[in-house]
Amino acid sequence: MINQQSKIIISVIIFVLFPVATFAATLYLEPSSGQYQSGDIFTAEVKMDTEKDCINAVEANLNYDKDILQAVDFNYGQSIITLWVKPPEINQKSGRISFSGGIPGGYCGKILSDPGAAQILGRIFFQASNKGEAKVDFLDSSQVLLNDGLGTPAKLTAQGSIFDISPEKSEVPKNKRQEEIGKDNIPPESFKAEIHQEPSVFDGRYFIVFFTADKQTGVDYYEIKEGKREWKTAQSPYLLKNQKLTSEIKIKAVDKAGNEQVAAIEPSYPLRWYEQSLIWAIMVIIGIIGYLIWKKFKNK
Amino acid sequence: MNLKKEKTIFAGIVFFLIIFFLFCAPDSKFHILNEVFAAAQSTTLTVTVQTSSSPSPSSSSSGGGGGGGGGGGGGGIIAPATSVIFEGRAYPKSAVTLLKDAQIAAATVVGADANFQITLPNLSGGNYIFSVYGEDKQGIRSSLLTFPVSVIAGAATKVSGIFIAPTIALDKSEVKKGENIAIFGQSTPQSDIVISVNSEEEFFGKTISDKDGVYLYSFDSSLLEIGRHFTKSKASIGNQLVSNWSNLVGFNVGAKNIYAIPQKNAIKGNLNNDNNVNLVDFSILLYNWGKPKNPIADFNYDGKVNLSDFSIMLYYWTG
Repeated sequence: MINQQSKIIISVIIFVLFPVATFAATLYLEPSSGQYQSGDIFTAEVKMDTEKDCINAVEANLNYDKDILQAVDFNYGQSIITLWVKPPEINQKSGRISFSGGIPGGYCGKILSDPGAAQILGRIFFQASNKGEAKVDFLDSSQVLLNDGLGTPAKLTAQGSIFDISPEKSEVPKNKRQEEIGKDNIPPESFKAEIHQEPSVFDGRYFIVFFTADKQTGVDYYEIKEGKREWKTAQSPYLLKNQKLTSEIKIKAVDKAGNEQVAAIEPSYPLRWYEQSLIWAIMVIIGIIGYLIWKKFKNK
Repeated sequence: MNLKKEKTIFAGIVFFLIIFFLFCAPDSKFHILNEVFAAAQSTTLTVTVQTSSSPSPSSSSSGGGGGGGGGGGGGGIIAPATSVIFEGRAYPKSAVTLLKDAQIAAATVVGADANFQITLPNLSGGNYIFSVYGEDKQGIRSSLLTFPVSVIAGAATKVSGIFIAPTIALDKSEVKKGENIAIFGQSTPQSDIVISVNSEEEFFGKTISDKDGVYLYSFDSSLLEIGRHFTKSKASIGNQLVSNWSNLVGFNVGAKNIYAIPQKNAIKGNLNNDNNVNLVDFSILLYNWGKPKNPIADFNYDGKVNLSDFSIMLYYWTG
């Protein structure tokens, strides 16, 4: 019979020699603290340390002190997230910021010799609105998943930030956001959009799929114009209004600085000349003019 | 009695310390083995940035200007266009595909020596996520190797040391307990292949790929319990280049042999049956988000389409 001490010793030995693999990751904010003056606009970077594991999906939900801070923007131009399930969303009323997205093949950490910054999921721009100590924390609903083909959640630790806001207003308030937007004169990357039809999507009707990235301030929104219709804000996948595919479709990606990139899809089934009302209208006008001229000559 | 207890505790602690120093000291065999497995988690990629047309690349972005041959006038430095060069090893005469931010950006055919190079020109500076995968002569795709690279505007960035994971396939979808199951695929010629079979206990096997990079390992199923099991493989060359793990493939151990129907590519994640997992499939997943309108998007059969299903899709992504 093994006594209690022996059990403890054996357990310690097993624990040290045969450690159980712990797949873990850390979501954190950088800087972890800072001092700003009322009116300043500053950034907090949302980062992920995968601790040598490979993570392919992230859901981050953050809570901030809405009486002291105002979240004015979220920049994801430098983000390692390539596909967004839920693009960053700010809710000032509840003091919440949330987003979710992923990295095909998983993110396994920065390459050591890579000169740039990595691990960035996005950058929050806060405006200091009132004095006090403002906390920004990750909520328990945040999660990261391993790139294991099974959708396994990784053990997650999270580290928030504390910002100290003083009541004096700076003569010229810092505005990090404006600085970055001012520097961005590069449009989003050129891209292609594709028309698809799948029995299981939109009841088998035609839709388009599109995606691009902007490496500076990030894509702010997309707009679509079908034929002569007005530009309309849209998200991929987008159900086409014109299911006959007879008109040109333009998709515009606009970054946070207002730079634009347009992709176009030629009509799959362009109207024949006799199907176009404009041609008929022109023919009628020519006919009328011809008739009037003929009548005038006839009267002479 | 108390003295006996203390002696037992003391003996235990001594035993523990001996074991600890024997096996866990920095240069012990156990420690080295651990390091090999830790290193095996990813290939050792190197990023070098060439800021001028001079032949020797510098290891950092600063490099800048200077250099060049003095002497009056001519021979100014020509700044290269913003581009990224990818160098690595795959399978002889196979296809390698490069993804930029989840979409196919380029493809090439690998040389007979298993080396490949892809140049991606006309990029803008910024952080990119690149992924590469290979396709063997059977048309089976490897797992994705994904890495972030900061591209410097006006410079050529070289990513070297890419080692694509082996492909993997099985001759049976179910093996009769006690009989062998063949695990095979392709990698770089003459590379060491480690095969892992996961069950309650993880079993490892070793083989060497032939001159065409093909490997075959016959696994004795008598070691496994009846039920579902998974296997994967990885390759290494002289313990210096180590690939990532291959895709995970599953098989059953049961009462009879069922031979596998050759399936070229990803099944999970491919929602429109075009043998690819890309933005179209992602769109279909988003359309089914939450309570699925079509249960095919619920890859883990938990009744909802959520982040887990998205994660499974990203694992099988092909662009």
